[in-house]
Amino acid sequence: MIKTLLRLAKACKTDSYNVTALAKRDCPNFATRISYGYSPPRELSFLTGALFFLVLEVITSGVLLSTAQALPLYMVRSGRTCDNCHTDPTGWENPELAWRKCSLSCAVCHVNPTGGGMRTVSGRFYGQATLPMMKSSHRPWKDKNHYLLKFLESKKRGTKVYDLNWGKVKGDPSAMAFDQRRYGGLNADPVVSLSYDARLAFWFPYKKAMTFFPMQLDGNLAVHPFRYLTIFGGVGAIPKSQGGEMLLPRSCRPDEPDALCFSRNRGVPIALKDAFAMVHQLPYMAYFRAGRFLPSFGLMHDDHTLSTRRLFEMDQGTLHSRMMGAEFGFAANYPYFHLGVFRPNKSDGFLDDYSAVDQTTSPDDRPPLIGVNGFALATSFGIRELGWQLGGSGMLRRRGFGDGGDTSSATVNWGVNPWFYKDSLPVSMLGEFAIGQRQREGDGKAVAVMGLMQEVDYLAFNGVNLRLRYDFGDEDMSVADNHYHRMSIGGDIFFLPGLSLTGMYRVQKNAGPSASFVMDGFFFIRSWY
Amino acid sequence: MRECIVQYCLFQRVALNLKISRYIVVVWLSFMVSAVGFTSCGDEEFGDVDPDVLPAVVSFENHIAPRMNYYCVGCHNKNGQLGNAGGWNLEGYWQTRLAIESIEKVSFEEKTMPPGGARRMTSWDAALFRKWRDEDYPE
Repeated sequence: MIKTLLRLAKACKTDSYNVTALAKRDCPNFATRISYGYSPPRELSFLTGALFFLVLEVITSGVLLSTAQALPLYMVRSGRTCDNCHTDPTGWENPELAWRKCSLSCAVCHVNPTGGGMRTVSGRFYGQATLPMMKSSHRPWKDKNHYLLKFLESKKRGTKVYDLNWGKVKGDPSAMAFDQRRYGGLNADPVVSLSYDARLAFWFPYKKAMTFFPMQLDGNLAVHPFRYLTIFGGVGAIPKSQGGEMLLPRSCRPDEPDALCFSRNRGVPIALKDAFAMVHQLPYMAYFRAGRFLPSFGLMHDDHTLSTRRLFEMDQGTLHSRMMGAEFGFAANYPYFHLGVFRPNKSDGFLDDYSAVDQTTSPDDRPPLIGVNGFALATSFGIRELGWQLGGSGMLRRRGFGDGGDTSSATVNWGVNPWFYKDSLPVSMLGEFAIGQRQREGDGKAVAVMGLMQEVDYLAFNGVNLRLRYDFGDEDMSVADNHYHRMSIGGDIFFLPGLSLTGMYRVQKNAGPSASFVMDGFFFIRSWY
Repeated sequence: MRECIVQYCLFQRVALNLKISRYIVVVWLSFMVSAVGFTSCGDEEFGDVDPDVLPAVVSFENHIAPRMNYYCVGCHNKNGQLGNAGGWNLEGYWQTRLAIESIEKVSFEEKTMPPGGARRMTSWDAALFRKWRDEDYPE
């Protein structure tokens, strides 16, 4: 262990790019942060300053049961939340590029390198010490009053949640493993890890009765027996429209006995979602994995109903979006890149039966574990700077028409974090534009599809986020008046580590002669670890 | 600012931020406006799909029932999660046939069903429903 660190230390000193000044400018209270918690040994100061970062988290949204998702918002905002990982940047020198873990990429906070689900120790620490309004650690000095409930402010940096991670990797951990002494006692490089994501939704359609339903229940297990190797598996409840079965109380009709007042839907509710083996903790934060997972395409927004997700068959709430394949990627400081080849799944939409290929398409169908004949390619790339980010992605699917046909898609996504530049401006903005081509049901004609989303978030207080979001979608640009505009306003309150409430009110304007408006609101109670 | 009450802090912060960020807000709003400006470039009318590519016979069993089950019957059935939502039971041939005008209205004209963020039927589905109705509801 010590030998490894000393080797890294030597490499660090050779790097000409020193970001100490940057750190002091943007996170000016770091020097005072030492008094709040762990102070690294002098010989490790440059290492501890250079390692790690940021933040993401998974929470999510959608209709009915869906899967865990990363929040791109944190990816944008975390460029300012340096204190999550940097306890002492004084004397900080940057290691050479290959050994930097300083990145806003998903892999820093999630075991899944493209985001969502189980968190690494950095993600767990962020979720416990920084994200919530209560039990959170001190904020940077200019945010000292940024508390709604100041009397519940934690007086020291650290975590108070039981750790669901056990064991120590045999031998020395990899040089790119997380530093065990950094995260308030959390296991930084465990052999066995457990995590879960659960949500309960309350939905308020306009002028109609409120209803509620469990929207998500996912469990994940990761086994990391040797350095560089992790085996990951995740199971979860699946959407009702895809065969999930829920048994929920409902209002009895007059002629019905009380015992029967439950709703029931089809199928077994639990399904295998992600399963892959991964070689990781390599220089440049590189990884290679093989198995079944969601390809890297676009931003995995918290709302899986966004046109940029659903119209491109990337709705993370469905099993169809996950594919069997292999992927390589890296996140070398600010730039990132992912490239994967897959065996595609059937379309997650309703497939027309006119092609006579599949007469049995129904909500009970689940995609075969290994997909259908054909191939798919997915790539994403870009740069995630601390104050801004710009990226792109592309995806090709080649498969039979009866399975959904060919698709070609591309996206451009961006994020701006004014908070990074102005302490008094805790605003984050992100957006995505997606365009593609798909084969229309029935006649197989190639038609264009387009989606766009814009979002601005304002962190009113620590743990209190306000959100304004707009999205646009056109499922078939050759047909007039079938697009929509949707405006959403709401926000999140992160009460305690692993417990939050999200509320949104949405107004959707549908095009066409009637130009209808659809309004609804919802709350999610979220719990995760 | 440190001494102010919570509400005043919030308003003061918002005002300050808006002043500082006017350029950022302008840029962002320009994105929004340009986005709203996006409209479909298509010239086909809604549901106006080439009849030659539609099935020769659109039947309830092969074409309409699967769509009803996928998009509607999850709630609109006598044992549904919402308990026969809205008083509409759309489970079966006659229930669908008798409600066809309402189904087409909320699904293809108003586009208010299925509600919330649930996936909705497309113009292709609209063409199938229209042909099924025009051909006197084949079973």
